[in-house]
Amino acid sequence: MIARLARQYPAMLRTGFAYMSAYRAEVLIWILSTTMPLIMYAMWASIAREAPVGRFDEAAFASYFLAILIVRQLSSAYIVWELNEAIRTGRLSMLLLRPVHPLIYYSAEHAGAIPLRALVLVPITAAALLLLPGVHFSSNPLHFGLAVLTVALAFLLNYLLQALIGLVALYTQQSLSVMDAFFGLWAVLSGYLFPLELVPGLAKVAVWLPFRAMGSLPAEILLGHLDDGAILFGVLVQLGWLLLAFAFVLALWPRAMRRYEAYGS
Amino acid sequence: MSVASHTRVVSHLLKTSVLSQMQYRFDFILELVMACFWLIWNIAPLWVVYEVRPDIAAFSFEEATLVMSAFLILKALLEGLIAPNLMQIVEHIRKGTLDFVLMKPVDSQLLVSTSKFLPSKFVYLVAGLSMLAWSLSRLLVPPSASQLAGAALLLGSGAVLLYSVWLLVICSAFWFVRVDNLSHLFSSFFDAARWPIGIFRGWVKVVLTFVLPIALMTSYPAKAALGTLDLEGGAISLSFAAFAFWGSRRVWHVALRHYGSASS
Repeated sequence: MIARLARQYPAMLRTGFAYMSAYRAEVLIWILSTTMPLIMYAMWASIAREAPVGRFDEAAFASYFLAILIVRQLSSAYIVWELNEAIRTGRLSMLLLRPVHPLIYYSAEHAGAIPLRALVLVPITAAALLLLPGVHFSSNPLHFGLAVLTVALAFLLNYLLQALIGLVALYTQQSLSVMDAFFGLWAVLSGYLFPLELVPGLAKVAVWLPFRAMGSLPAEILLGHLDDGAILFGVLVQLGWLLLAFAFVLALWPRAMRRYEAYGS
Repeated sequence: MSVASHTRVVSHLLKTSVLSQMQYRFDFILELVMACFWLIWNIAPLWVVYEVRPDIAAFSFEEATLVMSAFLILKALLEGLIAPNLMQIVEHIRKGTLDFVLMKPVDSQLLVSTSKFLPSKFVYLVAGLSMLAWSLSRLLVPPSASQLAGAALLLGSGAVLLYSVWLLVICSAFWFVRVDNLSHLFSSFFDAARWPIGIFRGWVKVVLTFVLPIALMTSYPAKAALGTLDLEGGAISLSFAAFAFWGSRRVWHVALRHYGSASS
């Protein structure tokens, strides 16, 4: 089965990319609407200009929110909206007939957007690193490698948790409200709006929760803020939540599909 | 049609839309809960900022809370009235049901702007008004009556400006049809309105004042209340809003001529 999947997946990636390129204007607008890290950067920079906040001076905030922007772009998922739509319109029936699991099919579609995301991210990153004085990432290549790994894990975790929330749509009509609440918690507890270390009380709880594992963890590694022990702990927390999410998806998916009634087909 | 009959039409529209929202009681309560949740989400960064740095030179605490209250009030308006209505236009164009709106003997812009109303977003309005009262009561020098009147006037013109910019964005649907993403983009820029414009510098500040005029919507009213806005700034803000309203109405009429009625 793995061998078959390895043969099929590149083809799915190609269709995913073709699909994203067909709607490139829309996808680009979605990508550009991630303005929050820029707004929060402006906010924090205006404060750091008079005196640094903890270890963060103006350039450190710029580096931080640049890293956050990159992580957010590369690990974001929208499977909950896709599932919601597929369940509501009955499109899921068609996907269930295919010999590939719908979650695998959608994951290829998500990956297909990465070239378009890079199109936006690469110039922004290059410009910030070259033009803004003092903006830099960790010079340790190991940190870069670990950041890539943790971004991939962060995407998987985000994807699976969203898939779980999407399955809630088969039990109530409110899966998108659950998603809203999830996103709100994520934004506060992931370091998206402010570096968690600025609020130590919150950080103590947040390092155990999945939100930081999907948020600032790869960014903090990329910046070289974490020592080896903290990186190991962060990756273990990520893997733990990933296993849990995977187990829940495996258990819930067949049950949820028995409830699915294929409206509209 | 007279003003009185217009008012009657609008109040009927609002009443029916409130009633139809209240029908789904569970959803309505859930939406209320969610609105409260988002409210905390909106205020949380401000709290964190003052947690780590009690006195900030870039803007005063009073200014920050006043801007935040203006932001919440306008957000209530945007999410409760402006966005739900104007997003319906996109649907009307796609399905061709704009025909039914155009056939009615009431001004079409008035009809499409007032037919849907989400009462659960009232939470923001209540929160914004309470925050406004709280921040005004904390001011060492209470604002004079003229400052208050100026702030109220500028907040009103900010609301007009917000509506006009949204109408302009939505009018592009007559040519492009799919504009839900564009409105999403605009909402994400509006998020910047929660902070005093002083945090931005250089060309970003100019863009956020005159191109995507979010500074005129929240920062200028706050400055007026604090008495730090000069007369010139107020005049610019008011004329900008008037011009945007006039311009968006013109564009609406031009756009209507482009409407091809999908059903026929």
